[in-house]
Amino acid sequence: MSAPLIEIRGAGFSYGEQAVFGGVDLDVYSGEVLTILGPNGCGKSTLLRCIGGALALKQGTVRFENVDLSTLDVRARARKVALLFQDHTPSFPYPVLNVVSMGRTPYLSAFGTPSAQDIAIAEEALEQVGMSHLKQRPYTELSGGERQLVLLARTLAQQPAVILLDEPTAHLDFKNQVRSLQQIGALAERGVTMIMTTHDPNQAFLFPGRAALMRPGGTLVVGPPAKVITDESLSAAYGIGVAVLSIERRDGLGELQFCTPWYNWPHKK
Amino acid sequence: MRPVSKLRRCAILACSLCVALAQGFAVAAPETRQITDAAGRHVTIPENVTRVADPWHANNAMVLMLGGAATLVATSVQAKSQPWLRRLYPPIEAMPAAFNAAGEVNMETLIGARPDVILMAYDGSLPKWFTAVDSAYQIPVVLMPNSSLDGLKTTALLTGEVLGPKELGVAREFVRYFDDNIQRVMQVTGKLSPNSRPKVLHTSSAGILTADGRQTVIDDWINIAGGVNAATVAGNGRPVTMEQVAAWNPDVIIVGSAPNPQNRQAILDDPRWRGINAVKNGKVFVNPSGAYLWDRHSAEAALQVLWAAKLLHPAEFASLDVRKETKLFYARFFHYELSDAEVASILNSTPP
Amino acid sequence: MIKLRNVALMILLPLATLYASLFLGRFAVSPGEVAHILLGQFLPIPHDWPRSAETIVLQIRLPRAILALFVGAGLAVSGAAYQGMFRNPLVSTDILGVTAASGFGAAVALLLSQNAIALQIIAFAFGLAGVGLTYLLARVYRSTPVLMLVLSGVVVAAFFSALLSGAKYVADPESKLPAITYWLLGSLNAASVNSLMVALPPIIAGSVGLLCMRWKINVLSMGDEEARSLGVRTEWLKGGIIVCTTLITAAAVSVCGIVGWVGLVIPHVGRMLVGPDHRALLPATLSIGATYLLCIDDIARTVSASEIPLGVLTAMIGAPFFAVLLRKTRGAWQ
Repeated sequence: MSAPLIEIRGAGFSYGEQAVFGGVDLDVYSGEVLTILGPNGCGKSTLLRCIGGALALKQGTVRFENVDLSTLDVRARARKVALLFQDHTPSFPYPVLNVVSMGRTPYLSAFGTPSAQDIAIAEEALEQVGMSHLKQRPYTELSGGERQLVLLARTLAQQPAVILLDEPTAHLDFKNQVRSLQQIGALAERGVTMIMTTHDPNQAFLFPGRAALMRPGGTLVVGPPAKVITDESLSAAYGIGVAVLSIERRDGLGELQFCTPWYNWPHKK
Repeated sequence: MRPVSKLRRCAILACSLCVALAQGFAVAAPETRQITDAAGRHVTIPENVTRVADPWHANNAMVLMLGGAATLVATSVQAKSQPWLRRLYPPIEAMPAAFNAAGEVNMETLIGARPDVILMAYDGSLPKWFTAVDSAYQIPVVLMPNSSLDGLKTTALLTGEVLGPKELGVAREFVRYFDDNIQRVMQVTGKLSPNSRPKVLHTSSAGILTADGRQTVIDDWINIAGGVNAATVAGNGRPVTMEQVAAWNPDVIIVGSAPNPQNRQAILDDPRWRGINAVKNGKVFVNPSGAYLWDRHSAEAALQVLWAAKLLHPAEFASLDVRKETKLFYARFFHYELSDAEVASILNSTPP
Repeated sequence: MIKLRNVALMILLPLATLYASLFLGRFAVSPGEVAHILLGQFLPIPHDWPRSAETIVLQIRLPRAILALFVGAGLAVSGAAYQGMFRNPLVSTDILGVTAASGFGAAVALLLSQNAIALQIIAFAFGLAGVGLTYLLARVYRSTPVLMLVLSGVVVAAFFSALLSGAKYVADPESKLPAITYWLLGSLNAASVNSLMVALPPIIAGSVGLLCMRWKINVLSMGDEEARSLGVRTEWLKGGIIVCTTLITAAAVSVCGIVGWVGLVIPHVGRMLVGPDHRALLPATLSIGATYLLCIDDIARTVSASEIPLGVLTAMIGAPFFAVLLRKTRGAWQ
């Protein structure tokens, strides 16, 4: 096993007196998609933001290719880590290409504007997510799903070592969720390292890489999805009855794991 | 002889008492006289005026000059702040200022001063406080003309008439002196051809650029002194643009807004004025100010015509010594001996 | 992407308006005379024009027109930068209190009978101080959130407005009060070469600064957190934008009083013409703002014998225009 890309040791965070998580140890390897699961409020988004440097850890360190992330300035950090936020409020109707070019900002000089080469990189990123046909469209006119893919293209243009995605499918409809996940899968296949938080345990099974289940109290269980995501672990984490099932794909491409809760209707006996 | 009956004695006593009382009342009723003011009103004022309120800044010096200083009981804020008036008449510093520069009256202060009469300028419209004072409090208001040198003479005479016979005498003397001065100047300037009359701009430039135009006191003395008013607008203190001033291109600029020396310096420092004839030829002057501003409607207008004539036509008035005339005027009318330094200060419009 | 024709237009339009301003006015100077006067400064041609025309063109109209160009450009680009930084189309340059503070400074200078240049400097200093106060009030845990900036700006502006009312109260109603009132209405009639030398450097410095930051403003308008994740030092950037716009606005107010609606309306016009990308928008607003204010000033001094205050005209034209804009966009950005 090669050296981990990211090493997190003893990470802890609290809002004032309120502890969110503590004592988290995590390694992230190049080329994997690490999915962080857990119920709402368990701190997975906060953990992601700490890894990305948007929040500062109260205890512990995040080392990035052996460099402590907190010692890097904002620009250097942006060249290593790209963040895809779930709460994004669009402002001005910039053309899509313009928005994706913003991903090149960490590589520009203090007063610089994107060069022709930067624009080319942005266009290529758009191509990768299949949004090239929309490149001159005002970004505010896109649907939720299209906007998500454009932001994904922006993170690609940033050419980071790792992309952090915070609940990327949270506000998307069914079709767009699948579209997004397929794009993420395509990137994973190209070897892009990603850390993704999700509220849907099923997503952990889709990508090559490990899963990390965050339990209430802030502890983390990391391992291959099949090991981490079990009836017992999910029931304990979410506090509801869950079954992890496995079905045969109809197109003969193997098995597909998914989780389903045991619904309990109160009036049924 | 039969003794006068008791009844008859009482009757005689009663009648005498009545007559005596009647006489007494007749003596106690104040005597009044009528005076016609500039607005054509017939104003009833006491025969003997001992308490005068003068909201008209310029006129305070006139009252002082005519000898009525002792009667002044209320004045205006601006009159109180004239440095030379304070020097000539120290009691004005403690005098209540019932009127401010915006023409508003503090009724309590005014009534508290119990004036017999109020002297006020009249330019065609009544002051804001007129109705209240005239009808509600019934203090007589004498209105006096405000917009020409001839009107100034009428003002002097009216003020004198209000104050009393001795003061009226002084007023007549002043008017004679004034006319003499005008005559002295017009003898020379009356013969000047239009070409030799310089264009004179009288301006205030503090804050907003203004010029004093036709149909004003300023226009009058400019004409008497042998100049022509460069400002073709009508009225006092008209806002004008720099372009207008540049188009008029005056030959002489007289600065008449306090603080005059600083305002004159501001014009000399301002690059936009540099192309103007007056600035190029170094003919930018400060208007003197003493008991009041010489250039406005004050008693010292009598000196203003001399000063202006010498300024505009120094060659023709070489023998005229303005400093000497100032000393003479102050000695004769204000009963004050000016030192050389004081004369210089008045002519430069600086405080004493 | 940037058409040469558009660039040429953006440069030529203000210059053409400048030339026109030199012969427009209540005192007739023909375009030919203007050309001769201008050329006569550099070339040895015979001086066959009246001296008063030369004074009017070179000493009065030229400095005034140049000042109008720079003030208009500066206010417009400041408004555009603030609208980007605050992500809000209703933001104008007054939002952090610079106008109220400068206005009070000017009133103090007028009360103390200072000359025109001292007044400019005092008003400028007060403008900077006002924004400094707003910034200090808005600092929360080493950052200045946008909401805190806006609220602090409201407080500081209200404070200086109150002080201004006090100054008007104590001012002598015959000379000082009309001067203060007139100054507050906004006018370029005191423009001279000296006032150019005091006002132009801060305006130019601030505008150049904003132009340098135009790409970063795009990124900042996505949100503070996102901008940071894209490598932008948001606190430095916001501080830089505030410093530049305050330099511009304080200098503008100190030289011509309170002229509103330029920083609010011109950025919208710019967006309609070149789009929201600040790389094109900021230069465009410079050009449009310059031409706009110069035209308005020409109207202000030509239409009637006594000048119409500039602030009155910009409000009378700007407010209805903005209303039309609101109706057209129905509140959305475009």
